Amino acid sequence: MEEKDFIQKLLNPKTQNVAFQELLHEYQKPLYNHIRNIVLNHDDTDDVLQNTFVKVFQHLKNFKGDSKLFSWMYRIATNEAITFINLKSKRNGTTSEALQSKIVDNLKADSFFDGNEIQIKLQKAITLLPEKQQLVFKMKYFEEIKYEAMSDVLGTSVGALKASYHHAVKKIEIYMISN
Amino acid sequence: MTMNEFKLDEQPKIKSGFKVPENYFDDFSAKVLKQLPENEPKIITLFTRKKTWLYAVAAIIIIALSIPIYTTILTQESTLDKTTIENYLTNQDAISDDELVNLLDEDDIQKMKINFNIEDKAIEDLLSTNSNLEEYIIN
Repeated sequence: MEEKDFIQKLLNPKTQNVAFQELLHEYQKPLYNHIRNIVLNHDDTDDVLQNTFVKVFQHLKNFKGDSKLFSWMYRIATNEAITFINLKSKRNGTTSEALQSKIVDNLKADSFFDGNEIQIKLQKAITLLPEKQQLVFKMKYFEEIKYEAMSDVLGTSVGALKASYHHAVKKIEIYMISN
Repeated sequence: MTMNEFKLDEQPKIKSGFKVPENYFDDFSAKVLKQLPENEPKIITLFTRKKTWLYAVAAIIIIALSIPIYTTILTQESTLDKTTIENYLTNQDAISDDELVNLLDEDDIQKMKINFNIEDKAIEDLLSTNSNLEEYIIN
């Protein structure tokens, strides 16, 4: 089905419910992974993912179709996740970097984390990157999103994204060797 | 892989390691659907706005209709006829003559003067026919 037709179904009150459930079904897993990679623990991801879909529903009317549904939804999810991390660190009187490294330090105890030493090391290396490089690395390496699509989501040129990813990989490789 | 060489893209992919609780996605969409606003909020606002307009129009009509009634009541009140007032004043024991006099101005007093244009002869006639004249004089 053409994306335009699907958006029409989402906007029409008669077909809205069915179409929205389709949207949920298609996007819940990839958006879960995207958010989880940013906020790191499951319960927070659950909250942010629900908020994301509620926001998507509320703003469907304003979706002009200038961008793809995919990029629009990833943009909302990314904003929700980053806002959440910032709010949570503020509530705990710390910075978002400090909060993330604390979560990663406790990953072993997280019942919904199932990774070995290398996986924990990689997560640790990521928290040391600047925010934008973190985001680009996670989207490229874990989520395998293409640069063109990522460019639509983040509003950054493909060239700049490639450079970001390259820098991120270099820093991570250095960290993996030296620690 | 040697200790001083680590190529992320040549390595087998390292997974994030994050797990999702079992059956998490089974009821996720139901959880979200429960949170969605049931009705289109725009329709509600339009409807309530229409209602307020109706109330406003009704209020204006009621006020407009009551204006003539009001004015007739007011004019009726102001045209209490003079005899009613006079009767009220004369039958009112609580008002003394002094108080009444104080309320009268010069004009009122002039109007109250009655002309007694009676000729002397008429008085004489009246007195002579009166059998009680002597009594009046003595007293």
